[in-house]
Amino acid sequence: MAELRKILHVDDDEDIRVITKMALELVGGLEVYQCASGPQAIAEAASFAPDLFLLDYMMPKMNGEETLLALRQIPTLEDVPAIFMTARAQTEVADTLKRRGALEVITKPFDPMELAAQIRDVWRNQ
Amino acid sequence: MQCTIVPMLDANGRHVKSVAIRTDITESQRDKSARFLNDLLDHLQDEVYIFDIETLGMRYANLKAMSRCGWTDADLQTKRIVDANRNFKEDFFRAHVAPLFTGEKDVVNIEFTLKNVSFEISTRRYTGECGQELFVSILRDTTERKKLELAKLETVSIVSHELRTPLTSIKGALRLLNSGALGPVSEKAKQVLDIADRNSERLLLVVNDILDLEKIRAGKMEFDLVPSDLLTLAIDAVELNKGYGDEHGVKFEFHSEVLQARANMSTDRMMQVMSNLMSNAAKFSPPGATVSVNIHRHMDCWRIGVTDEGPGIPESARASVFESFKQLDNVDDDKRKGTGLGLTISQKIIQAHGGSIDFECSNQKGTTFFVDLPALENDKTYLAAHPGIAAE
Repeated sequence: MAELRKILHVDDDEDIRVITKMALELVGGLEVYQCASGPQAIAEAASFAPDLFLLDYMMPKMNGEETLLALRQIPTLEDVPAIFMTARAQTEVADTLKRRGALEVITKPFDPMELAAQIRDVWRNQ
Repeated sequence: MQCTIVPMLDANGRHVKSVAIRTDITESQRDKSARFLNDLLDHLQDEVYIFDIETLGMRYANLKAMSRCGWTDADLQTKRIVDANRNFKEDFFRAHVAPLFTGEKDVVNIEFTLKNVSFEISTRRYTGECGQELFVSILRDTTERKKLELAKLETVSIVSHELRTPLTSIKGALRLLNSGALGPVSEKAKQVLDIADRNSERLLLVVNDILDLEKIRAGKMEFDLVPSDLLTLAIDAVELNKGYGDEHGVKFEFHSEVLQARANMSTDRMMQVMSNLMSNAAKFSPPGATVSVNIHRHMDCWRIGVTDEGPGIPESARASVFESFKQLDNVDDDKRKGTGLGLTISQKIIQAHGGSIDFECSNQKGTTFFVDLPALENDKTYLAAHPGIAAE
């Protein structure tokens, strides 16, 4: 298993993007590219060539699940694993996403000091 | 009594005497009020069934009930409640109403769904004027109420999401600052950050609790009941809540009078109950106190008790302890305040396990909250063969 280095993070909330970037880069030492929407991620993901997608589930227009489906249509990204983040606490949402191929579903609020370690654990155990 | 006075006049029209007629109208008044009540029952939106406790023979059904069952007044004399629906199981019904005979409950309720229509039936015992023992069952269509509950859950869920999103940023920012990852933090700044962090955590707990409560109310909380050992649960709970106990200077101590206590349960949900009881016990005990967690047999159940060394619960507050948003009046310390929903949620979770939760105070000093969960059948056999095991 190759080491996890590059994460594409998609979230429509700017403040959460700032916190997540600090959590993953500053605390976790990972390289992060961020997009504010599904369409932006679809347009820009290939050039970043991420090891992992970190997707917010609830986004306007195109939610995290739809974004993942579209990202997986891009030839170079079809095997990139995905982790979802959601502020919706229902277990059925998490179960559905896992059945559809998510490695993990992280519930917001997350601990920024633990986020990178949590993602690395999931990456190692996939 | 009704009194009629008739004046008697002579030929010149002068009043010479009066005749008073007194009539006992008790019966006719009683009949009138019985007719009124009957009429009222007949036209209720709910279905009303009154039937004999022993034979289950019908004594009365209102118009709505008669219409559902396709009965006429003449039919009613020959019908039993089991004829009301072909799926009616007499054995199940007898077991369902058993708590009405033990005095455990005044009313028993059951909910079910038939062809996408939800119903709720409440049954209670009633002793008629001539001493006849009757059951009174009221069947209510709860479809609309259920739809409203689901819509409310969806709203609460959306509100919860809308609150959790900004809380993610607030808590995340505070955590990054407080950790020193963004640079050194002075002692005073750290004190302020701790206050902000503690209060954002409290807000998050309220949001989570409201969501949990709505899920339970709408019947959407999943309970994956599997045979599990309560001893393992209690030991894990002590370990999990140790940090919380440390914050309040309180030690958790566990002891059991049995080696195994198996019950059907959802471990996650039971852990939620244990954490609620243990955190309450820690909050209300003075520093240096020991909170005791223990398991023993109580009739056909396993009883888990959590005993604190707190001030006790006044008798006046007993009735409202499990109500939503109830906090004891004497809780004026911020560190003791909770969401006011924990015990309500715990009670609902335990009820979903077929168990019960209650508390007792000894001389108004110290409180024991206890949960009774039905022991698994094979454990009951084991207990019967080992009567020496701590039976109360």
